[in-house]
Amino acid sequence: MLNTQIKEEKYLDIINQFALGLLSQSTIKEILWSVIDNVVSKLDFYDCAIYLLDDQGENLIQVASQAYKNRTPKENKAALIKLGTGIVGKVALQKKAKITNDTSLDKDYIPDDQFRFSEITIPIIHEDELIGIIDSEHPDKDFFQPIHLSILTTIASMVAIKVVQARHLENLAEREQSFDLIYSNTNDLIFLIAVEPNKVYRIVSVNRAYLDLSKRSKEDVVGKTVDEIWDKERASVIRKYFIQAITTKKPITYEIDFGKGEDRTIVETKLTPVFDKRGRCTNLSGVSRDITAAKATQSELKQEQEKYQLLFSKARDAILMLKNDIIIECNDRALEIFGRSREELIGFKPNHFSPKLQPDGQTSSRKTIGDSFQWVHSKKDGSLFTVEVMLSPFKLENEEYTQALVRDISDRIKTEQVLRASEKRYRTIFENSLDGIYKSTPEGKFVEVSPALVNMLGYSSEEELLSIDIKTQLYFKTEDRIKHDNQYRLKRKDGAEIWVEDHGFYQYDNSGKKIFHHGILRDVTAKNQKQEELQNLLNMTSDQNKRLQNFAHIVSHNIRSHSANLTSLVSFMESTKDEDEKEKMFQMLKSSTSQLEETIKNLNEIITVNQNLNKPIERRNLLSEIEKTLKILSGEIHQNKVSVKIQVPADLKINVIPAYLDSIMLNLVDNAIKYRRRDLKPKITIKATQLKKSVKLVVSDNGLGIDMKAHGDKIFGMYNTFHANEDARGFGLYITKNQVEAMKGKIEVKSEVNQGTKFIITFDEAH
Amino acid sequence: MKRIKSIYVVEDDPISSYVIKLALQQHPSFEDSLEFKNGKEAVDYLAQHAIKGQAPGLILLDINMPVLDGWGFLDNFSGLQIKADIPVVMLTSSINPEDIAKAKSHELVKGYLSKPLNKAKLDEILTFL
Repeated sequence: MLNTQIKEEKYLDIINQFALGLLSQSTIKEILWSVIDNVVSKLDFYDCAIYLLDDQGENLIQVASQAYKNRTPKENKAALIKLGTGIVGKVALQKKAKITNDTSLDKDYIPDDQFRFSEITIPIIHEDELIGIIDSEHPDKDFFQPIHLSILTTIASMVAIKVVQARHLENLAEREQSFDLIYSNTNDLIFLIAVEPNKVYRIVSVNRAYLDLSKRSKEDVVGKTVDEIWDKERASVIRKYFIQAITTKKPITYEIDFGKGEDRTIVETKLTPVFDKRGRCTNLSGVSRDITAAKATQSELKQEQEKYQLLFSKARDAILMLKNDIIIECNDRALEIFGRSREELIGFKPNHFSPKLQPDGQTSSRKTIGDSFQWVHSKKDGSLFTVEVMLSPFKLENEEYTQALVRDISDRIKTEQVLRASEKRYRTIFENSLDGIYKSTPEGKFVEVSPALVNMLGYSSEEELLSIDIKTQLYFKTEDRIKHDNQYRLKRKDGAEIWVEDHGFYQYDNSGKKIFHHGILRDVTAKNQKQEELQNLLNMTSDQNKRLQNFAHIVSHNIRSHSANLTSLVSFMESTKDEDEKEKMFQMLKSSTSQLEETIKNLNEIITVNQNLNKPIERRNLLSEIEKTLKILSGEIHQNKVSVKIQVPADLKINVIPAYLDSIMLNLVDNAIKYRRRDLKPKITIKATQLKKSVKLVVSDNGLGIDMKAHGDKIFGMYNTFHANEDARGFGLYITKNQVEAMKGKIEVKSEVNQGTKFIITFDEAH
Repeated sequence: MKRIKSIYVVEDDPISSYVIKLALQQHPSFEDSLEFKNGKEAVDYLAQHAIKGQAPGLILLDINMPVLDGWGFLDNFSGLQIKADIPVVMLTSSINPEDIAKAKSHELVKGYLSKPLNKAKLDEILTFL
């Protein structure tokens, strides 16, 4: 085996060539292949293979192999060897090189493509870590010598260094590549700042995100100082953080708002100072992130939470949170309602704050039924209060809770009690009042009627009254129904009328529509009758008083006017010498005295009429009374060719004071003749009609008529004359009126100038 | 001495009218009177003559008269719209307070006298004319 005898110099030469070869190789594959090439060719080996341990450290993977010279390459049968299997696996496990001189004697030997008798196996180790195996076999026994072992071990350790180095480089490149990727694609802002003397901070590098967010070009940023990039205010803030990081030698995190006005851009930055070996800060590296949106969300969340908190704490109702029936949380209102401190509530069951028994007689410790119920609780001082409870279950992080909404309704209950009492009082009044109380619909149906109303209206039962139609069966005039606070007539069931005083009001719904009439009706029929009588009496008295006063004035006027004439005439007669004049005055004196006598007679007549109010009333046939009057006037009627038409039923009888009726007829007919028109044939019509409770007598003519506008109010006055007639005394109609009224009658006049006059006398036959 | 000319006597009672005329004749300050039986006659006459500048110096007016009474005369008189200042004195036997109050409040009425008319009353008229 000469070729296996390797000399010292050859050995060194081989190592040298390996070292040189390795220097020029960069990738692991190139290194391994060059090793194999060299081993096979330089050492004249039959073959050589290199295995590397996989990442899991379980298997050895053959990464390169070479058969010697012209021999065909080995098939990749043993491309993968499990750690600990076969000679290779064992060596790898023990990390100890081995020469096997006769493989047939070694139980571990696993034949390759063909059985070879000797084998050399070297572990590739770096810092005691197995990296791989160099393995070579030879068909001859005892081929491998210790020199081979030395050479291969040296080569293996060189390979190990080289492989580790190459691996580092590969890793580094990979990491650099991924860093670049992150650096340029991340949404975080990355920047590197050089710390220069005099606190100058210069931007060395920024990534794309930084430029995007700050809306600047690379030229505007890189190479510039902080003061050149930011405004004075921001730059000063930023510098403050930089100095803090440098002096504390610790990374710091800070937030700065880079936005303008309402448009906020809040950026959070983590700044890390970088120091050199001498402990001098050379660089600052920073990573920033736009947290505007996050901030906003956070603030919204906070507001929501505050709102809820406010709702919870300021609620008008007590809110209890229960877990397994025990109060675990409550709001401020709960403290007020229960009259207890938070500590006195939390940790207890709600029915702990209850009297022994509830109003329904059951114990407070029973299980409540339903989500909503009334409950009586007790305060710390022992006073009881009623609440309305609403329970709603909810789940929070898979735990079951109950929220109890507790409303203090003590006041409401008190109000209800007061209301009930007042309702009871109202009922008492309703049932017992002497006034009729009602409630009715606008359509005209009673809804409620008091017993007094039923009685007042003459119905036999409430039901009967409730069934009537108010508009048609109760009211004479439908418009009376809306006259609240008024008096009007109502129909009783029997048709009789009663006077009522209505004090009512309307009830409206929310939209302002009338929904009910309410009211109290008082029967004022009797009161009204009395009042009417009183009023009549008053009217009569005041009428008489007025007449009396009028009469007094007339008396004084008339008598004075005559006495004035008499006085004057007498004094003139004394002074005058002229006999003719004296005679004239004497005649006047005579005339004046007779007028005075006449006046006194007239006044006496009036007094008589007014005094004899109780003269006997007799029942007379009207027609015959009229005929009697006409007979007296027949001379004048004939002389003036007056046509008199009489339309009086022959059997019509009236109650009169006969002398007055004669006087009235005489006066009216006489007037009609006296004030006739000279250019027409005078016509007088006397017509009488029997009415229900009275008799109407109308005397009309076609004479001169009276200007009603000018004299209407004076026609029946004393000494009022309306025509330039010497005969007129202005007394007749005055006495006529007095006579009519003495018989409780009425006299009216209708007239127009040159159209005639119509006197209408109504004789009241009611009594 | 002031003399009052053209005096209208509005009076329905002939005796009263005669007596008034006599009283006026015997007083030195009053002359030539005209008699009217009622307010209408007086108004009609006034309407015709006052326009021609023949306004009366005084009107003595009764209240109770047929056809047109003293009040009616005053209403019609106001309606005539005569520029001249014609004094009206009510001369009546009425002592009805209502009549007196009504006369005093009427802008055209200068005085209210009760009958009979005599020298003393005519002197009184002169003081307020």
